[in-house]
Amino acid sequence: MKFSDSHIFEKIKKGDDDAFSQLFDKFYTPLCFFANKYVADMDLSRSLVQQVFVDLWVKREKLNVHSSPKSYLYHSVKNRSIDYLRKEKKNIPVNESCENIELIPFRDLVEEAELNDKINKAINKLPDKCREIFILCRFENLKYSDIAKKLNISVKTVEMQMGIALKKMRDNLSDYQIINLIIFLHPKKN
Amino acid sequence: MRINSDEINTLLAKYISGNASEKETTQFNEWLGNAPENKKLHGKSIQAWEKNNTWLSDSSVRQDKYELQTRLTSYLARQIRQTKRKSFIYKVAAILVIPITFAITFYFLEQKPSAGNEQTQICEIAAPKGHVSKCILPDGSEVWINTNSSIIYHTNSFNKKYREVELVGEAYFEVVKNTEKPFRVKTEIANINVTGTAFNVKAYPGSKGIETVLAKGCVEMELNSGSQQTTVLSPGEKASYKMGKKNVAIEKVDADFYTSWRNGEILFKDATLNDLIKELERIYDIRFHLKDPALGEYRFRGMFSYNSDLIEALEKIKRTAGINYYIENKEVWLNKNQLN
Repeated sequence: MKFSDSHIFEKIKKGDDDAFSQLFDKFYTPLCFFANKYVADMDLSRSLVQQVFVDLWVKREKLNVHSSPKSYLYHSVKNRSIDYLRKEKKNIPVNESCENIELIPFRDLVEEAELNDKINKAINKLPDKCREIFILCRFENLKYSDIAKKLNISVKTVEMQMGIALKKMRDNLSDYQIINLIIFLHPKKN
Repeated sequence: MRINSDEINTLLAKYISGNASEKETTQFNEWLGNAPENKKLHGKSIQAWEKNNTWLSDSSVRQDKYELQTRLTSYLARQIRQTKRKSFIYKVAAILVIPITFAITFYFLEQKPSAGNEQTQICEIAAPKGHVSKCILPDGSEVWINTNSSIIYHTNSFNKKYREVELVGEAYFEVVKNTEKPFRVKTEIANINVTGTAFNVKAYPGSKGIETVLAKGCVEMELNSGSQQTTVLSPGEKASYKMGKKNVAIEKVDADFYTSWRNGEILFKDATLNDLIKELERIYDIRFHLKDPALGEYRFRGMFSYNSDLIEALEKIKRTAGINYYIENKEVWLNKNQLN
Protein backbone atom coordinates (compact mmCIF):
# COMPACT_ATOMS: atom_id res chain seq x y z
CA MET A 1 0.00 0.00 0.00
CA LYS A 2 1.23 3.50 -0.82
CA PHE A 3 0.78 6.24 1.69
CA SER A 4 0.63 9.91 0.94
CA ASP A 5 3.23 12.04 2.70
CA SER A 6 0.73 13.65 5.03
CA HIS A 7 -0.49 10.31 6.36
CA ILE A 8 2.86 8.65 6.58
CA PHE A 9 3.71 10.12 9.99
CA GLU A 10 0.37 9.03 11.40
CA LYS A 11 1.13 5.49 10.28
CA ILE A 12 4.66 5.58 11.65
CA LYS A 13 3.41 6.91 14.95
CA LYS A 14 1.24 3.81 15.22
CA GLY A 15 4.30 1.65 14.62
CA ASP A 16 3.66 0.78 10.96
CA ASP A 17 7.04 -0.45 9.71
CA ASP A 18 5.80 -0.62 6.14
CA ALA A 19 5.23 3.14 6.18
CA PHE A 20 8.67 3.61 7.72
CA SER A 21 10.23 1.53 4.98
CA GLN A 22 8.49 3.63 2.32
CA LEU A 23 9.70 6.83 3.89
CA PHE A 24 13.23 5.46 3.82
CA ASP A 25 13.00 4.45 0.15
CA LYS A 26 11.72 7.85 -0.86
CA PHE A 27 14.06 10.13 1.07
CA TYR A 28 17.22 8.22 1.93
CA THR A 29 19.31 8.94 -1.19
CA PRO A 30 18.46 12.65 -1.57
CA LEU A 31 19.10 13.12 2.16
CA CYS A 32 22.53 11.52 1.80
CA PHE A 33 23.40 13.97 -0.98
CA PHE A 34 22.05 16.75 1.19
CA ALA A 35 24.22 15.78 4.19
CA ASN A 36 27.15 15.42 1.83
CA LYS A 37 26.91 19.13 1.05
CA TYR A 38 27.75 19.83 4.68
CA VAL A 39 30.23 17.13 5.56
CA ALA A 40 31.67 16.33 2.08
CA ASP A 41 32.07 12.65 2.87
CA MET A 42 29.52 10.23 1.48
CA ASP A 43 30.15 7.43 3.97
CA LEU A 44 29.78 9.82 6.85
CA SER A 45 26.65 11.29 5.27
CA ARG A 46 25.12 7.84 5.03
CA SER A 47 25.79 7.22 8.68
CA LEU A 48 24.32 10.59 9.74
CA VAL A 49 21.17 10.05 7.72
CA GLN A 50 20.75 6.55 9.11
CA GLN A 51 20.95 7.98 12.60
CA VAL A 52 18.15 10.40 11.74
CA PHE A 53 15.99 7.47 10.67
CA VAL A 54 16.84 5.53 13.83
CA ASP A 55 15.81 8.55 15.93
CA LEU A 56 12.62 8.98 13.98
CA TRP A 57 11.56 5.41 14.68
CA VAL A 58 12.65 5.44 18.29
CA LYS A 59 10.86 8.71 19.03
CA ARG A 60 7.92 8.01 16.76
CA GLU A 61 5.38 8.24 19.58
CA LYS A 62 6.27 11.88 20.14
CA LEU A 63 6.06 12.69 16.42
CA ASN A 64 4.02 15.71 15.36
CA VAL A 65 1.84 14.19 12.67
CA HIS A 66 0.97 17.55 11.19
CA SER A 67 4.52 18.42 10.13
CA SER A 68 5.63 17.48 6.65
CA PRO A 69 7.94 14.43 6.60
CA LYS A 70 10.12 16.09 4.00
CA SER A 71 10.71 19.23 6.00
CA TYR A 72 11.19 17.23 9.21
CA LEU A 73 13.80 14.95 7.61
CA TYR A 74 15.82 17.67 5.86
CA HIS A 75 15.91 19.83 9.00
CA SER A 76 16.97 16.87 11.13
CA VAL A 77 19.77 15.99 8.72
CA LYS A 78 20.89 19.61 8.60
CA ASN A 79 21.03 19.87 12.40
CA ARG A 80 22.88 16.62 12.71
CA SER A 81 25.42 17.61 10.05
CA ILE A 82 26.05 20.99 11.65
CA ASP A 83 26.41 19.38 15.08
CA TYR A 84 28.93 17.05 13.59
CA LEU A 85 30.92 19.89 12.00
CA ARG A 86 30.88 21.89 15.23
CA LYS A 87 32.32 18.95 17.13
CA GLU A 88 34.91 18.42 14.45
CA LYS A 89 35.87 22.09 14.54
CA LYS A 90 37.29 21.69 18.00
CA ASN A 91 39.87 19.41 16.48
CA ILE A 92 40.38 21.20 13.23
CA PRO A 93 40.81 24.90 13.98
CA VAL A 94 39.60 26.53 10.77
CA ASN A 95 36.83 25.16 8.65
CA GLU A 96 35.47 28.01 6.62
CA SER A 97 33.22 25.86 4.53
CA CYS A 98 31.01 25.31 7.55
CA GLU A 99 30.12 28.97 7.61
CA ASN A 100 29.88 29.17 3.83
CA ILE A 101 27.24 26.50 3.67
CA GLU A 102 25.12 28.22 6.28
CA LEU A 103 24.89 31.22 3.95
CA ILE A 104 23.24 29.24 1.17
CA PRO A 105 19.45 29.23 1.49
CA PHE A 106 18.19 25.94 2.91
CA ARG A 107 15.62 25.56 0.13
CA ASP A 108 18.30 25.79 -2.55
CA LEU A 109 20.33 23.06 -0.91
CA VAL A 110 17.29 20.81 -0.76
CA GLU A 111 16.63 21.42 -4.45
CA GLU A 112 20.25 20.71 -5.23
CA ALA A 113 20.11 17.46 -3.29
CA GLU A 114 17.00 16.44 -5.20
CA LEU A 115 18.74 17.12 -8.47
CA ASN A 116 21.74 15.08 -7.30
CA ASP A 117 19.35 12.26 -6.48
CA LYS A 118 17.79 12.53 -9.92
CA ILE A 119 21.19 12.25 -11.61
CA ASN A 120 22.17 9.43 -9.28
CA LYS A 121 19.03 7.54 -10.26
CA ALA A 122 19.96 8.01 -13.92
CA ILE A 123 23.40 6.56 -13.21
CA ASN A 124 21.90 3.55 -11.47
CA LYS A 125 19.54 3.05 -14.40
CA LEU A 126 22.38 2.78 -16.95
CA PRO A 127 23.05 -0.73 -18.29
CA ASP A 128 25.62 -2.50 -16.07
CA LYS A 129 28.60 -2.27 -18.41
CA CYS A 130 27.83 1.26 -19.40
CA ARG A 131 27.55 2.31 -15.75
CA GLU A 132 30.81 0.62 -14.84
CA ILE A 133 32.62 2.53 -17.55
CA PHE A 134 30.96 5.81 -16.63
CA ILE A 135 31.85 5.42 -12.92
CA LEU A 136 35.49 4.69 -13.72
CA CYS A 137 35.70 7.72 -15.96
CA ARG A 138 33.70 10.23 -13.93
CA PHE A 139 34.38 9.30 -10.31
CA GLU A 140 37.70 7.51 -10.52
CA ASN A 141 39.09 9.86 -13.12
CA LEU A 142 40.45 7.15 -15.37
CA LYS A 143 41.34 7.94 -18.98
CA TYR A 144 39.57 6.03 -21.75
CA SER A 145 42.70 4.03 -22.48
CA ASP A 146 43.07 3.03 -18.79
CA ILE A 147 39.45 1.93 -18.64
CA ALA A 148 39.87 -0.15 -21.77
CA LYS A 149 42.92 -1.83 -20.28
CA LYS A 150 41.29 -2.38 -16.91
CA LEU A 151 38.15 -3.94 -18.36
CA ASN A 152 39.91 -5.69 -21.19
CA ILE A 153 37.81 -4.02 -23.89
CA SER A 154 38.64 -1.80 -26.83
CA VAL A 155 38.96 1.98 -26.54
CA LYS A 156 36.30 2.19 -29.26
CA THR A 157 33.85 0.41 -26.92
CA VAL A 158 34.65 2.81 -24.10
CA GLU A 159 34.08 5.76 -26.44
CA MET A 160 30.72 4.43 -27.56
CA GLN A 161 29.54 3.48 -24.08
CA MET A 162 30.50 6.88 -22.71
CA GLY A 163 28.53 8.54 -25.49
CA ILE A 164 25.51 6.41 -24.62
CA ALA A 165 25.90 7.06 -20.88
CA LEU A 166 26.05 10.81 -21.26
CA LYS A 167 23.10 10.86 -23.63
CA LYS A 168 20.94 8.76 -21.31
CA MET A 169 21.76 10.96 -18.36
CA ARG A 170 21.04 14.09 -20.34
CA ASP A 171 17.69 12.71 -21.46
CA ASN A 172 16.84 12.04 -17.87
CA LEU A 173 17.44 15.63 -16.95
CA SER A 174 15.36 17.06 -19.73
CA ASP A 175 12.03 16.88 -17.92
CA TYR A 176 13.53 18.49 -14.90
CA GLN A 177 13.72 22.17 -14.49
CA ILE A 178 17.41 22.82 -14.49
CA ILE A 179 18.18 25.08 -11.61
CA ASN A 180 21.05 27.45 -11.55
CA LEU A 181 24.28 25.96 -10.56
CA ILE A 182 25.12 26.95 -7.06
CA ILE A 183 28.79 27.54 -6.82
CA PHE A 184 29.73 25.41 -3.98
CA LEU A 185 33.10 24.81 -2.46
CA HIS A 186 33.74 21.61 -0.68
CA PRO A 187 36.05 21.71 2.29
CA LYS A 188 39.41 20.56 1.20
CA LYS A 189 40.49 17.37 2.79
CA ASN A 190 44.09 17.83 3.65
CA MET B 1 30.59 18.43 -42.69
CA ARG B 2 27.75 16.18 -41.42
CA ILE B 3 28.12 13.88 -38.50
CA ASN B 4 25.34 11.67 -37.16
CA SER B 5 23.92 11.83 -33.64
CA ASP B 6 25.84 8.81 -32.33
CA GLU B 7 29.06 10.41 -33.41
CA ILE B 8 28.06 13.65 -31.72
CA ASN B 9 27.34 11.86 -28.45
CA THR B 10 30.69 10.12 -28.59
CA LEU B 11 32.47 13.35 -29.38
CA LEU B 12 30.62 15.26 -26.63
CA ALA B 13 31.52 12.65 -24.03
CA LYS B 14 35.15 12.66 -25.16
CA TYR B 15 35.37 16.43 -24.99
CA ILE B 16 33.62 16.79 -21.62
CA SER B 17 35.59 13.99 -19.99
CA GLY B 18 38.86 15.41 -21.27
CA ASN B 19 39.63 12.55 -23.61
CA ALA B 20 39.44 14.45 -26.91
CA SER B 21 42.51 14.78 -29.09
CA GLU B 22 43.49 18.13 -30.58
CA LYS B 23 41.81 17.25 -33.86
CA GLU B 24 38.66 16.17 -32.06
CA THR B 25 38.62 19.39 -30.05
CA THR B 26 38.68 21.40 -33.27
CA GLN B 27 35.91 19.22 -34.67
CA PHE B 28 33.90 19.76 -31.50
CA ASN B 29 34.25 23.53 -31.57
CA GLU B 30 33.17 23.58 -35.19
CA TRP B 31 30.06 21.57 -34.33
CA LEU B 32 29.33 23.82 -31.33
CA GLY B 33 29.30 26.89 -33.50
CA ASN B 34 27.04 25.33 -36.12
CA ALA B 35 23.71 25.85 -34.38
CA PRO B 36 22.29 27.31 -31.14
CA GLU B 37 20.77 23.89 -30.27
CA ASN B 38 24.24 22.47 -30.14
CA LYS B 39 25.17 24.92 -27.41
CA LYS B 40 22.08 23.87 -25.48
CA LEU B 41 22.94 20.21 -25.85
CA HIS B 42 26.43 20.91 -24.66
CA GLY B 43 25.15 22.86 -21.63
CA LYS B 44 22.87 20.08 -20.57
CA SER B 45 25.61 17.51 -20.96
CA ILE B 46 27.88 19.57 -18.75
CA GLN B 47 25.16 19.64 -16.10
CA ALA B 48 24.72 15.89 -16.21
CA TRP B 49 28.46 15.44 -16.02
CA GLU B 50 29.42 17.97 -13.36
CA LYS B 51 26.51 18.13 -10.98
CA ASN B 52 27.35 15.04 -8.98
CA ASN B 53 30.81 14.56 -7.59
CA THR B 54 30.01 11.22 -6.03
CA TRP B 55 27.43 8.51 -6.45
CA LEU B 56 25.46 6.06 -4.38
CA SER B 57 24.70 2.67 -5.84
CA ASP B 58 21.34 0.97 -5.41
CA SER B 59 23.07 -1.89 -3.68
CA SER B 60 24.67 0.39 -1.05
CA VAL B 61 21.26 1.85 -0.35
CA ARG B 62 19.84 -1.64 0.11
CA GLN B 63 22.73 -2.48 2.39
CA ASP B 64 22.14 0.68 4.43
CA LYS B 65 18.51 -0.24 4.83
CA TYR B 66 19.43 -3.59 6.33
CA GLU B 67 22.01 -1.91 8.52
CA LEU B 68 19.33 0.44 9.75
CA GLN B 69 17.15 -2.51 10.69
CA THR B 70 20.07 -3.93 12.65
CA ARG B 71 20.59 -0.66 14.46
CA LEU B 72 16.92 -0.63 15.38
CA THR B 73 17.21 -4.20 16.60
CA SER B 74 20.06 -3.38 18.94
CA TYR B 75 18.15 -0.36 20.13
CA LEU B 76 15.26 -2.69 20.93
CA ALA B 77 17.62 -4.87 22.93
CA ARG B 78 18.54 -1.88 25.07
CA GLN B 79 14.93 -0.95 25.47
CA ILE B 80 14.05 -4.45 26.60
CA ARG B 81 16.70 -4.25 29.26
CA GLN B 82 15.13 -1.09 30.59
CA THR B 83 11.48 -1.98 30.58
CA LYS B 84 9.62 -4.83 32.14
CA ARG B 85 6.24 -4.79 30.67
CA LYS B 86 3.56 -7.35 31.49
CA SER B 87 3.08 -8.52 27.99
CA PHE B 88 4.37 -7.66 24.63
CA ILE B 89 5.32 -9.31 21.44
CA TYR B 90 8.94 -8.98 20.57
CA LYS B 91 9.37 -9.04 16.87
CA VAL B 92 12.75 -8.90 15.24
CA ALA B 93 13.71 -8.76 11.62
CA ALA B 94 16.94 -10.59 12.15
CA ILE B 95 19.80 -9.87 9.83
CA LEU B 96 22.94 -10.25 11.85
CA VAL B 97 23.74 -12.78 14.45
CA ILE B 98 25.08 -10.52 17.16
CA PRO B 99 22.20 -8.14 17.72
CA ILE B 100 19.82 -11.05 17.91
CA THR B 101 21.92 -12.92 20.37
CA PHE B 102 22.12 -9.85 22.55
CA ALA B 103 18.45 -9.23 22.29
CA ILE B 104 17.60 -12.65 23.54
CA THR B 105 20.21 -12.79 26.25
CA PHE B 106 19.17 -9.47 27.72
CA TYR B 107 15.64 -10.50 27.55
CA PHE B 108 16.22 -13.54 29.64
CA LEU B 109 18.42 -11.90 32.16
CA GLU B 110 15.62 -9.51 32.85
CA GLN B 111 12.88 -12.03 32.85
CA LYS B 112 14.34 -14.41 35.39
CA PRO B 113 13.17 -12.59 38.51
CA SER B 114 9.60 -12.45 37.31
CA ALA B 115 9.49 -16.06 36.14
CA GLY B 116 6.61 -18.08 37.47
CA ASN B 117 3.77 -15.66 36.97
CA GLU B 118 1.33 -16.05 34.17
CA GLN B 119 2.75 -13.83 31.47
CA THR B 120 2.65 -14.89 27.88
CA GLN B 121 5.70 -13.68 26.09
CA ILE B 122 6.53 -14.61 22.60
CA CYS B 123 9.81 -14.21 20.81
CA GLU B 124 9.72 -14.23 17.04
CA ILE B 125 12.83 -14.28 14.89
CA ALA B 126 12.36 -13.87 11.16
CA ALA B 127 14.62 -13.82 8.12
CA PRO B 128 13.50 -11.33 5.49
CA LYS B 129 13.43 -12.22 1.81
CA GLY B 130 16.88 -12.78 0.42
CA HIS B 131 18.52 -13.22 3.81
CA VAL B 132 19.47 -16.02 6.13
CA SER B 133 19.35 -15.33 9.86
CA LYS B 134 21.09 -17.16 12.62
CA CYS B 135 20.25 -17.03 16.29
CA ILE B 136 21.14 -18.76 19.52
CA LEU B 137 18.30 -19.96 21.68
CA PRO B 138 18.38 -19.55 25.48
CA ASP B 139 19.51 -23.18 25.90
CA GLY B 140 22.50 -22.59 23.60
CA SER B 141 21.06 -24.37 20.58
CA GLU B 142 21.75 -22.69 17.26
CA VAL B 143 19.17 -22.05 14.58
CA TRP B 144 19.71 -20.88 11.00
CA ILE B 145 16.53 -19.46 9.55
CA ASN B 146 16.17 -19.53 5.80
CA THR B 147 14.88 -16.63 3.73
CA ASN B 148 11.26 -15.71 4.29
CA SER B 149 10.92 -18.00 7.31
CA SER B 150 10.49 -17.48 11.02
CA ILE B 151 10.57 -19.23 14.35
CA ILE B 152 8.55 -18.43 17.45
CA TYR B 153 8.99 -19.57 21.02
CA HIS B 154 7.37 -18.77 24.33
CA THR B 155 10.00 -17.16 26.43
CA ASN B 156 8.68 -18.23 29.80
CA SER B 157 8.01 -21.87 29.06
CA PHE B 158 11.00 -22.54 26.80
CA ASN B 159 13.71 -24.51 28.58
CA LYS B 160 11.48 -25.37 31.57
CA LYS B 161 10.23 -28.93 31.08
CA TYR B 162 10.95 -29.02 27.39
CA ARG B 163 12.22 -26.78 24.63
CA GLU B 164 9.60 -25.96 22.05
CA VAL B 165 9.91 -23.86 18.89
CA GLU B 166 7.30 -23.18 16.23
CA LEU B 167 8.56 -22.99 12.66
CA VAL B 168 7.05 -21.43 9.55
CA GLY B 169 9.28 -22.04 6.53
CA GLU B 170 12.71 -23.61 6.65
CA ALA B 171 15.36 -23.77 9.37
CA TYR B 172 18.42 -25.78 10.30
CA PHE B 173 18.85 -26.68 13.97
CA GLU B 174 21.90 -27.66 15.93
CA VAL B 175 20.43 -28.68 19.22
CA VAL B 176 22.45 -28.86 22.42
CA LYS B 177 22.08 -32.29 23.98
CA ASN B 178 19.85 -32.42 27.04
CA THR B 179 17.84 -35.62 27.59
CA GLU B 180 15.95 -34.06 30.51
CA LYS B 181 14.44 -31.36 28.33
CA PRO B 182 13.43 -32.71 24.93
CA PHE B 183 13.60 -30.27 22.02
CA ARG B 184 10.57 -30.05 19.78
CA VAL B 185 9.98 -28.24 16.48
CA LYS B 186 6.30 -27.66 15.83
CA THR B 187 5.04 -27.09 12.29
CA GLU B 188 1.59 -26.98 10.82
CA ILE B 189 1.75 -30.59 9.69
CA ALA B 190 4.12 -32.42 11.98
CA ASN B 191 6.31 -32.10 15.05
CA ILE B 192 9.94 -33.12 15.28
CA ASN B 193 11.21 -34.42 18.63
CA VAL B 194 14.90 -34.60 19.46
CA THR B 195 17.26 -34.49 22.40
CA GLY B 196 20.50 -33.34 20.80
CA THR B 197 21.22 -33.38 17.11
CA ALA B 198 21.59 -31.44 13.84
CA PHE B 199 18.79 -31.41 11.31
CA ASN B 200 16.94 -29.38 8.70
CA VAL B 201 13.19 -28.81 8.60
CA LYS B 202 11.38 -27.39 5.59
CA ALA B 203 7.70 -26.59 5.99
CA TYR B 204 6.73 -23.57 3.91
CA PRO B 205 3.11 -22.61 4.20
CA GLY B 206 1.36 -23.38 0.96
CA SER B 207 3.62 -26.30 0.12
CA LYS B 208 1.25 -28.54 2.11
CA GLY B 209 4.12 -30.75 3.08
CA ILE B 210 7.07 -31.16 5.37
CA GLU B 211 10.59 -32.39 4.80
CA THR B 212 13.19 -33.23 7.42
CA VAL B 213 16.79 -34.11 6.73
CA LEU B 214 18.97 -35.42 9.52
CA ALA B 215 22.66 -34.55 9.51
CA LYS B 216 23.71 -35.97 12.89
CA GLY B 217 22.06 -37.74 15.83
CA CYS B 218 18.48 -38.94 15.89
CA VAL B 219 15.10 -37.32 15.32
CA GLU B 220 11.52 -38.44 15.46
CA MET B 221 8.85 -36.93 13.26
CA GLU B 222 5.29 -37.07 14.51
CA LEU B 223 2.39 -36.17 12.20
CA ASN B 224 -0.33 -33.97 13.61
CA SER B 225 -3.08 -35.53 11.50
CA GLY B 226 -5.37 -38.37 12.66
CA SER B 227 -2.90 -41.23 12.45
CA GLN B 228 -0.25 -39.47 14.56
CA GLN B 229 2.23 -41.69 12.77
CA THR B 230 5.80 -41.37 14.07
CA THR B 231 8.92 -41.88 11.98
CA VAL B 232 12.43 -42.26 13.34
CA LEU B 233 15.32 -41.06 11.15
CA SER B 234 19.00 -42.00 11.00
CA PRO B 235 21.73 -39.61 9.84
CA GLY B 236 21.69 -39.00 6.08
CA GLU B 237 18.01 -39.78 5.77
CA LYS B 238 15.21 -37.55 4.57
CA ALA B 239 11.61 -37.93 5.65
CA SER B 240 9.00 -36.20 3.55
CA TYR B 241 5.27 -36.06 3.89
CA LYS B 242 2.62 -34.46 1.70
CA MET B 243 -0.79 -33.61 3.11
CA GLY B 244 -3.39 -36.13 1.98
CA LYS B 245 -0.82 -38.89 1.53
CA LYS B 246 -1.00 -41.91 3.79
CA ASN B 247 2.62 -42.50 4.60
CA VAL B 248 5.84 -40.72 5.26
CA ALA B 249 8.48 -41.38 2.59
CA ILE B 250 12.04 -42.02 3.71
CA GLU B 251 15.07 -41.87 1.43
CA LYS B 252 18.85 -41.74 1.71
CA VAL B 253 20.15 -38.32 0.71
CA ASP B 254 23.26 -36.18 0.72
CA ALA B 255 22.64 -34.04 3.80
CA ASP B 256 24.96 -31.26 2.56
CA PHE B 257 22.64 -30.67 -0.31
CA TYR B 258 19.80 -29.75 2.05
CA THR B 259 21.80 -27.78 4.56
CA SER B 260 24.24 -25.75 2.45
CA TRP B 261 21.85 -22.77 2.35
CA ARG B 262 22.77 -21.87 5.93
CA ASN B 263 26.23 -20.82 4.79
CA GLY B 264 24.61 -18.48 2.33
CA GLU B 265 24.96 -20.96 -0.50
CA ILE B 266 22.60 -23.13 -2.40
CA LEU B 267 24.05 -26.30 -3.75
CA PHE B 268 22.60 -27.74 -6.90
CA LYS B 269 23.51 -31.24 -7.89
CA ASP B 270 21.92 -32.27 -11.13
CA ALA B 271 18.98 -29.91 -10.69
CA THR B 272 16.84 -28.60 -13.55
CA LEU B 273 16.60 -24.94 -14.50
CA ASN B 274 13.05 -25.07 -13.13
CA ASP B 275 14.38 -26.02 -9.68
CA LEU B 276 16.95 -23.27 -9.85
CA ILE B 277 14.39 -20.66 -10.87
CA LYS B 278 12.13 -21.61 -7.97
CA GLU B 279 14.98 -20.93 -5.53
CA LEU B 280 16.03 -17.68 -7.18
CA GLU B 281 12.44 -16.42 -7.17
CA ARG B 282 12.25 -17.08 -3.45
CA ILE B 283 15.60 -15.53 -2.64
CA TYR B 284 15.37 -12.40 -4.76
CA ASP B 285 11.63 -11.87 -4.73
CA ILE B 286 11.26 -11.74 -8.51
CA ARG B 287 9.40 -13.64 -11.26
CA PHE B 288 11.01 -15.67 -14.01
CA HIS B 289 9.61 -16.35 -17.46
CA LEU B 290 10.95 -18.89 -19.93
CA LYS B 291 10.68 -18.02 -23.61
CA ASP B 292 10.71 -21.73 -24.36
CA PRO B 293 9.26 -24.03 -21.67
CA ALA B 294 11.66 -26.80 -22.74
CA LEU B 295 14.48 -24.70 -21.29
CA GLY B 296 13.20 -25.54 -17.82
CA GLU B 297 14.51 -29.06 -18.23
CA TYR B 298 18.09 -27.92 -18.68
CA ARG B 299 20.24 -29.64 -16.03
CA PHE B 300 22.62 -27.88 -13.68
CA ARG B 301 25.09 -28.52 -10.99
CA GLY B 302 26.95 -25.97 -8.94
CA MET B 303 26.83 -23.55 -6.13
CA PHE B 304 25.00 -20.26 -5.91
CA SER B 305 25.67 -17.82 -3.17
CA TYR B 306 22.95 -15.81 -1.44
CA ASN B 307 25.45 -13.08 -0.96
CA SER B 308 26.02 -12.51 -4.63
CA ASP B 309 23.51 -10.46 -6.47
CA LEU B 310 21.01 -11.64 -9.00
CA ILE B 311 23.03 -10.39 -11.97
CA GLU B 312 25.93 -12.57 -10.88
CA ALA B 313 23.68 -15.63 -10.73
CA LEU B 314 22.22 -14.83 -14.15
CA GLU B 315 25.68 -14.30 -15.63
CA LYS B 316 26.65 -17.71 -14.30
CA ILE B 317 23.68 -19.29 -16.04
CA LYS B 318 24.50 -17.40 -19.20
CA ARG B 319 28.10 -18.58 -19.22
CA THR B 320 27.48 -22.20 -18.36
CA ALA B 321 24.29 -22.82 -20.27
CA GLY B 322 24.26 -20.17 -22.99
CA ILE B 323 20.94 -18.91 -21.76
CA ASN B 324 20.39 -15.18 -22.17
CA TYR B 325 18.42 -13.01 -19.85
CA TYR B 326 16.83 -9.64 -19.71
CA ILE B 327 15.21 -7.93 -16.80
CA GLU B 328 12.17 -5.72 -16.82
CA ASN B 329 10.82 -4.39 -13.53
CA LYS B 330 10.83 -7.40 -11.25
CA GLU B 331 10.56 -9.90 -14.09
CA VAL B 332 13.36 -11.85 -15.66
CA TRP B 333 13.04 -13.38 -19.11
CA LEU B 334 15.23 -16.25 -20.17
CA ASN B 335 15.82 -17.45 -23.69
CA LYS B 336 18.28 -19.65 -25.48
CA ASN B 337 21.25 -17.83 -26.88
CA GLN B 338 20.86 -18.04 -30.66
CA LEU B 339 24.56 -18.06 -31.30
CA ASN B 340 25.29 -21.14 -29.23
